[in-house]
Amino acid sequence: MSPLADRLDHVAAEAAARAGHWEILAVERDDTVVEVGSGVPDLVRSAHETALCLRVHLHGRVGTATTTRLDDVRGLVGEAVRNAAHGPPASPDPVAGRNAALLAAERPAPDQGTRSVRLLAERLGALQRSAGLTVHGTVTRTEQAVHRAAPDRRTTTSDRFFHIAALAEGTAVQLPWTGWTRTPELPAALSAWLEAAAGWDGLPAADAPSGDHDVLLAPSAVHTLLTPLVTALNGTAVTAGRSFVAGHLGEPFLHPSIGLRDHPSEPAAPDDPDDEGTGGLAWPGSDDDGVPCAPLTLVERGVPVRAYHSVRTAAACGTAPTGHGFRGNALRRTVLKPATPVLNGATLSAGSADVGSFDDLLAGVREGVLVESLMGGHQRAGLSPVVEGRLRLGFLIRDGRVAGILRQRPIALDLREVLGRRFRAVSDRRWAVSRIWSGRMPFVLAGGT
Amino acid sequence: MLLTGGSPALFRDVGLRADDYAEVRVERARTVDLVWRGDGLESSVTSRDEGCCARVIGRSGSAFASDTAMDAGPVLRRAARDAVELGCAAGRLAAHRPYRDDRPGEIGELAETVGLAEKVELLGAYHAAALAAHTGVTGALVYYRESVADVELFTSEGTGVSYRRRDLTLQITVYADGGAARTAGSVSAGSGGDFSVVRGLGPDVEAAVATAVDLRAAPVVAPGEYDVVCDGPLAGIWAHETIGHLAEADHHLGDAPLQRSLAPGRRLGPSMLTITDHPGRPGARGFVPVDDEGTAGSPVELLRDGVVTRPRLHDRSTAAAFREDPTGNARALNFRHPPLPRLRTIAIAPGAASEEEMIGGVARGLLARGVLGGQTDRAGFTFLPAECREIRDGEVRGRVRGVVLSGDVLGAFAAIDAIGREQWRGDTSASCGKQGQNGLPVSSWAPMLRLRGIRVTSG
Repeated sequence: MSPLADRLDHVAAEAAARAGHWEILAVERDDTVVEVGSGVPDLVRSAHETALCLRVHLHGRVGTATTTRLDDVRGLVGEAVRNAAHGPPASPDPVAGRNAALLAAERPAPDQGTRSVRLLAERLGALQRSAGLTVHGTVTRTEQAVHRAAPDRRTTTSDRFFHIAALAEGTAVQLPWTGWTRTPELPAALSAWLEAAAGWDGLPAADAPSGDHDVLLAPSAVHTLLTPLVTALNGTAVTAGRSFVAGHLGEPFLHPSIGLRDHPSEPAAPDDPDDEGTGGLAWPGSDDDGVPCAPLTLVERGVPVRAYHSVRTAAACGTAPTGHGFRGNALRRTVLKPATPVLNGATLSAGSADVGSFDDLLAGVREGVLVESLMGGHQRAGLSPVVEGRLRLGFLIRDGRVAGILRQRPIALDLREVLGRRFRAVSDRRWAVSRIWSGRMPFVLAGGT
Repeated sequence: MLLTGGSPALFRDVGLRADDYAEVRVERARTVDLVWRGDGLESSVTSRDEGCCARVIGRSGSAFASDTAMDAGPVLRRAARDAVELGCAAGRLAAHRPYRDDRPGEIGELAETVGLAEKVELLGAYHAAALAAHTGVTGALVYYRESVADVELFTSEGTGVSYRRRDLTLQITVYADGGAARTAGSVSAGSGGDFSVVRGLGPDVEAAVATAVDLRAAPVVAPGEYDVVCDGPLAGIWAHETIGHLAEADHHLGDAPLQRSLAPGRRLGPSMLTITDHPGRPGARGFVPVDDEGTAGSPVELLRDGVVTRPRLHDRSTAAAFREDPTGNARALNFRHPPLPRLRTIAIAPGAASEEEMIGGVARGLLARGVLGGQTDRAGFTFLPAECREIRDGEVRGRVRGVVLSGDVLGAFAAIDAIGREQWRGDTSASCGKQGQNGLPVSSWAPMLRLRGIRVTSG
């Protein structure tokens, strides 16, 4: 028995002696990070973390305490019991079949432990030579085990994945790329994107066209654009009264071709490479409330149809939890944070008639802009469907080719327009995104007004 | 008392070379989080977060390791092993002035001396008052956090220091239904552990409700260029996000254009503009008398009379790279992170203008108060003020909504033409984020500023 499993027994016994009901979530995680600066691995960081969260129900109230000190079981239980005296009321457990039929975790490909990180970092650094740009970045290998226990159940799940974050720096551009994969290989999309960036680096500075023009959004910008809607569909925003869409579920909002669905990665064949770097996005069998994670359609044919919930937000809204209650997120469980609704595999899609390759989308733009990333777009997320901020990196498109690097400027995009009446198409390939929420986003083309 | 008793044996045993540097940091933190959302109290959580970390910097490589276990030996050995086996680039550190002063600063009403029941009653009353204040209110969020961390740092050079860090924040946000969007009003308070800053906030909650409710009928601001008068809290965060982050020395490494932009002697702003990063004062969130490399903090005057003076805030590594002195800015969020050059308390020196003079000199502009959000990428900035009123012909008029201020970081200093005579020195719940270390406590001291011709967009 591992030291943590042994400790869980102690906590369970102590909690059972002092509370009517109890739940434990414990996380063990090992991270190894190699930082790459100017093509050379220049720093290694490693972290081992074991942390435990205990929730007790006592006299109709809930008390919660977390700790990294697993040797002080009595202190942990005492804190939780004390908090219950002044804690929120306990809601009846609404979840029939919690922990029913957990999905089997994907088996990660074997690797060489922490040496795999070094190998990947060297390959990332080597892209500096092939792309002709200065390459910085980090490669992270994470192993995570999550233990859940309650009086009538106990489960353990584990996962392992690599995160690759790269920044290609030229004389005029700084182009980021990020992905998650289960195999210690660099995704093909990364080198392809860096090659494109190298071709754009020498382009002249330019202003956006003054009149009507097309807008091609890269996955990072699509993520920013969608964040207000994703946040407004979050059960936390709904219960806080700050969701602009909560009272309008079932009403048309986006183009009827568009759908948004939270679901796990498609299982890959054993020898298939993870070309896009999306295969490492996590999809646990159950959330941190113990509710099974199941695919959920959020937007169907342009219509927001449902919010996503933790047990707590679902109870507050009088609806069923959807398996989205996580401490941190599925990629990085943080026991010290409260369980809140989180999307871990949101995917934007469009009808088959509105899908093309990135090259096709670009070739179809006579005059327009390619928006790689936006700054400040998350600031009012959930309050308004308008994303206002500043263009961080963008390019001028003329006659189907990238022709200049846009000067920084303020920008405001209304997602009801860009993904509504101006929507034209999405790319057939998607990249991983993760900030506030995680998923796979395509390039999106919106036409002129 | 240091956990090791200051014994150098720990460092000898891992086989460091004579010129290798190693340090161990041990941290014991306790946190209380209280959240009200929906109809009432959502969660009451206490956390005990303890662990240690080690950093090795030497000829064979550099590495950082952390662990929630409190035994520093294995963590130091792991860092030493990784530095060699993973073969990363070597590093070096500048000599520094170790912190010696361990006099505790005075703090008003220590948060940990106030019982949980009293906190729940006081803060819960704010939430209930916000919900009951007006039928247009759709919800309210009250988020309270307090933490106390005891840190011990010891190094292979023989440095051994221990220090206590306290932090306290309260954010109250009130939401109202503004049709296609939600409107918001907020109360933001913070301190270095003094609970008294969250007492007596009833009038502030009422003002937040009035802001959220009034904004429903307020016109959306017309995009364009405006003269903007910022209050102290907004001016302080603007200084933090612009010159403050630009001055963090790790950003200067390999960035010749930035080094030229902030070359000493270059004029950035008007002659009455002086900005300093300061170790702060006891009881404030940005009080950092000693940094996480054990360096004693000292003020760094970034701009004097509008001219760049000392453009870099250092940790020992960046100080070595630039052959300058460490400034006491090496800060780590907790034991899970290595220290980085970070801001402490950014201070804009007061000027000579009264509020009436600043507003009276504006024909078409905005009076902006507080911050709902803000971001910079070191080239540009965007800010969402918490509240904006129109100024016409020197008179403050009604609220406008949707205001987003943006501009070039370096260009904005030249836009300042008046500085208020009273320097605001409160704390808010706004914290600093950098390279995954988000939520670092900081302070700002700032008077009102008037900026001419700031770009405003609407959202």
